[in-house]
Amino acid sequence: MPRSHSSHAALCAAPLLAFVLPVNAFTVSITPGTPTVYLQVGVGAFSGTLQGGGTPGVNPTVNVVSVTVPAAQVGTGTPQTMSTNSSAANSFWDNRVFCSPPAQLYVGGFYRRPGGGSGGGSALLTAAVPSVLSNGSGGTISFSQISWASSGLGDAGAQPFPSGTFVAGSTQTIGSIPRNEWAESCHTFSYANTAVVPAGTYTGTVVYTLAAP
Amino acid sequence: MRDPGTFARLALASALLSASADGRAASNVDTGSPGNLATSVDLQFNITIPRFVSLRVGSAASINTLSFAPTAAEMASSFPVLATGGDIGGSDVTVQVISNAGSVTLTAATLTADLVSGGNTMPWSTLAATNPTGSIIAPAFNTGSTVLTAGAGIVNQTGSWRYIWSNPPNTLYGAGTYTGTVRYTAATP
Amino acid sequence: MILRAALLLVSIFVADIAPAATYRVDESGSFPQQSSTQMRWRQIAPSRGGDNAVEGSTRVNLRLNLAPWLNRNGRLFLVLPEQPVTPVKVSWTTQGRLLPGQLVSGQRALVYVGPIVSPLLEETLVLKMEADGTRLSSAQRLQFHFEIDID
Repeated sequence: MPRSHSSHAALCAAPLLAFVLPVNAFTVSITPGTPTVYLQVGVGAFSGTLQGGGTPGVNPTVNVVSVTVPAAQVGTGTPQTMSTNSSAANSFWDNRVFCSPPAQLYVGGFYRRPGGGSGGGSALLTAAVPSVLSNGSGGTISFSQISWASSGLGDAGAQPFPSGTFVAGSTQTIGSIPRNEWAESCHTFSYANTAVVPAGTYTGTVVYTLAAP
Repeated sequence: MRDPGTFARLALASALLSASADGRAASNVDTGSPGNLATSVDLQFNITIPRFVSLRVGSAASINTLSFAPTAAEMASSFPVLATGGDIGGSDVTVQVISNAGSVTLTAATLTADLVSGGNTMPWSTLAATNPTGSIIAPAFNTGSTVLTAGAGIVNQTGSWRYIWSNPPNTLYGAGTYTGTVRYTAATP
Repeated sequence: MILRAALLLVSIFVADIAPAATYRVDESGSFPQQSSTQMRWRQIAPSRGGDNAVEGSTRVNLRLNLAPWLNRNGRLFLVLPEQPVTPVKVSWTTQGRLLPGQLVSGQRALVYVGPIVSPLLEETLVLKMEADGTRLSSAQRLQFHFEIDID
């Protein structure tokens, strides 16, 4: 009696299916890189250089921009160029000379953010500017007397942190850094010197903040 | 097996990031979620203004000579005589006092006891100055002083002085050119 | 007589196992079955060269059930399906029972060739993964599996 092909085929198929039933795979979830902002005004901290895979850090030193006005110039309206105690000349981006201290102050940083598309495009750099610098004896100088010119050695085109003047008693925009980019400028500060003010050393602190949306 | 180089960099980053805080610095780092990501850095500004006092009488760059040349008729009239040579014109000179060191005291000291022409002398008292503009009163020669009061530590005044030779009546002086120099001084405490 | 002979014929056919084909391997004994890896920027600061890669690493203890192919010759592959957001590069090291290697999502890589001499294969993989950090904006599940080509 000839064997039934259909029954024979069914018996062959059953064992094969047992081997192809879906089984669990192991799953690894990868989460995006951490958003990061780094801001440097003056001397920064970086382990190595960016191109060498260095990492940014905190430099606790607060740099100073200053000027001593000659007696014969006080209040004449002749702008007085300021200088900085920052020694930052090279960019951590590529370790090339970028600024010329003490005349120029380095301002730069980066914004790391995963993902693409719209939203969270740029980090904003602002400056919280006090109304005045004070000499501690009641004498004041408006912060609006201080301005800066922006440049960068070897740069062409617009600066990311362009030239400007402080707006006394405000939080003003200095510039922005697009997502996943490094931006830097060199600032040369100037005191307008338009008024005779009492003798003394006038001090004030501007707080620069880099914030990501 | 992890790349030891990568591990070292990650460890360093972790250490540095953990040190990042709200403390002010010249460089700073922050990591976190979008919308809650910000880092701040301080920059200090110092402007040093020295104490100074500035005094100007006449031209800014040179010593003026005021010349009185009365005619015979003017001599006979005994009327006061005006000079020439002031930087403003005629008998008038610019006077300016600027200081950031408080109130200023002006004095006028003659370098000789009298105006002199050869063996003849003429007293300084024959000369006087008024202030046709501004509020700065010319101090009397050798005896007086003018105090300019500071406002918020500042004196910044500009005006003019006009010099007059009194041409005293019933007084004859020998012919000649009588000369003398006055030194004005502005002083702060 | 005929019935017994028929039964004997069926039994012999089953014992001959599966024909040449590609099969999914049971790795349900592997652990962790699921893990999460925080990827880190290879260069934390954006560079002139535009290196926006993120990379991470994890360890997986494998337990592969190879019993169905015992005493057969086969080629064992690690497979990662194509990913929807961004390609993922994977490289791994082993303790020696499987071959080290690398693949890009959407590919499979050979990790063993030869006779299956043990029903259970245990191995530890250290996976290193790399992706484009500017495109990886949310967690992405990489579902690995093994498959075996039987001669």
